[in-house]
Amino acid sequence: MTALRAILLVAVAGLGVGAVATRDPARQVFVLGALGLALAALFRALEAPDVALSQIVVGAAITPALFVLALAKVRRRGG
Amino acid sequence: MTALAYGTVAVLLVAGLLGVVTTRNLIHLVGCLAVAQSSTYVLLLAVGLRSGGRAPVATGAPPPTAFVDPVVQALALTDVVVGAVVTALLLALAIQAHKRFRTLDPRDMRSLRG
Amino acid sequence: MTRRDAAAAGAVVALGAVVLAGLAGLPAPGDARSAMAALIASTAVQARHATDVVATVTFDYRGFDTIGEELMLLAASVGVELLLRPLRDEALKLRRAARIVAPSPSAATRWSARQAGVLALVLGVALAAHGHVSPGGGFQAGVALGAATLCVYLASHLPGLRAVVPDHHAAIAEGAGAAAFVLLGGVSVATGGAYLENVLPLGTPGRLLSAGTIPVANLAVALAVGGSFATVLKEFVEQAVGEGRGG
Repeated sequence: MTALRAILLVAVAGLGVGAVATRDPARQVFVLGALGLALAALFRALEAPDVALSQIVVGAAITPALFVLALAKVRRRGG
Repeated sequence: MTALAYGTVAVLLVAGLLGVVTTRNLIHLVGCLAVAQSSTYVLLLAVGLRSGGRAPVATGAPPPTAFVDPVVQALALTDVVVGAVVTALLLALAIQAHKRFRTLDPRDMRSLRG
Repeated sequence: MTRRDAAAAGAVVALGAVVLAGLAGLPAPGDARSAMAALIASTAVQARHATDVVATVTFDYRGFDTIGEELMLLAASVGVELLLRPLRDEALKLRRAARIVAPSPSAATRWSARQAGVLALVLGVALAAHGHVSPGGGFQAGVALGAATLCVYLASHLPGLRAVVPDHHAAIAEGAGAAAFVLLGGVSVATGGAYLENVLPLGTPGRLLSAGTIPVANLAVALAVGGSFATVLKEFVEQAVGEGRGG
């Protein structure tokens, strides 16, 4: 359990830095989605299934969708 | 384990805020803010952890003292959901800013400057 | 990197050092010795007959704070609608012509989205109904229902989304859910109790009909949160694909 937590903590930290370092928002969406899933797995490993359930839907579906739709909007406006 | 958990919290917060202050794109900024925000969830759950503790859901006849802290979990679970809607609000602001200034680069938004 | 950037980055790194110093003073993860957590862990199930202790904290001990969270969510969602609405009205003519700029989703996307949408809908209802006996609850159910709305868009594009979520219906669900949650808390106040204190029979722990007002609160919050996400996602979709060339 400790090993799993350690792996997931490292993954979350790495994906967080990766999301910031990815300057193109269209690519950042994918890193943010992966971060959201890693966070959900970490929350489950930290014995927080209630939080993991919130995070998995928000991180894997809703937040990436909002970013993609916002990007689609600004690209259409010729940005 | 302690250093790793709190180290992850600090890395997420600092990386996210560094992204916010140096970004050239408002949508990227919202993504960086989401990274900084996720540090609070990791911190809350790490603080509430007990070695050998189980998820605070009673199944059958468990020794209830072996639960991890349910209070921080209640805080984190609502904040994850509220955070998603706040992200939507910030993205809507970015869309409006783009409509007005025709750019997402905060440097080019002259009238926003103080 | 400009000088201003460097100064701001320096400030963030300094803040990081302060935060690290603060974190070093916390008990190590695994050593949590919160007296309140121990008290709640040993008494919550007997007190509220909800086997998910997190649900008891969310909707009883921390109930007033949760109302604040829900109202914050409502305010942010209303903010999205206010921000995006004028843009939509400007393009009303193009919208009336039902002009949609994005191509229709492929057959594979439509099929996958239909399966995922049914799953999300079932998950949402299950999480709302069982929030007091197993992990889940109104907030998780609400986001699952929001994800189901997203699947409707992916499966049937904008016309389908407009048919399933007609104008204002999601907003009405959002407001009605939030109002029901606030009023539910008020019932116990009217009878002399604390806010969100239980007023219904508690039943047997682990049963679907148990834990008094907690399942009612879960259903109200699921309606409110689901309505908020449906509204927000629909506004974003309308912005992205629903108004001709835009601006």
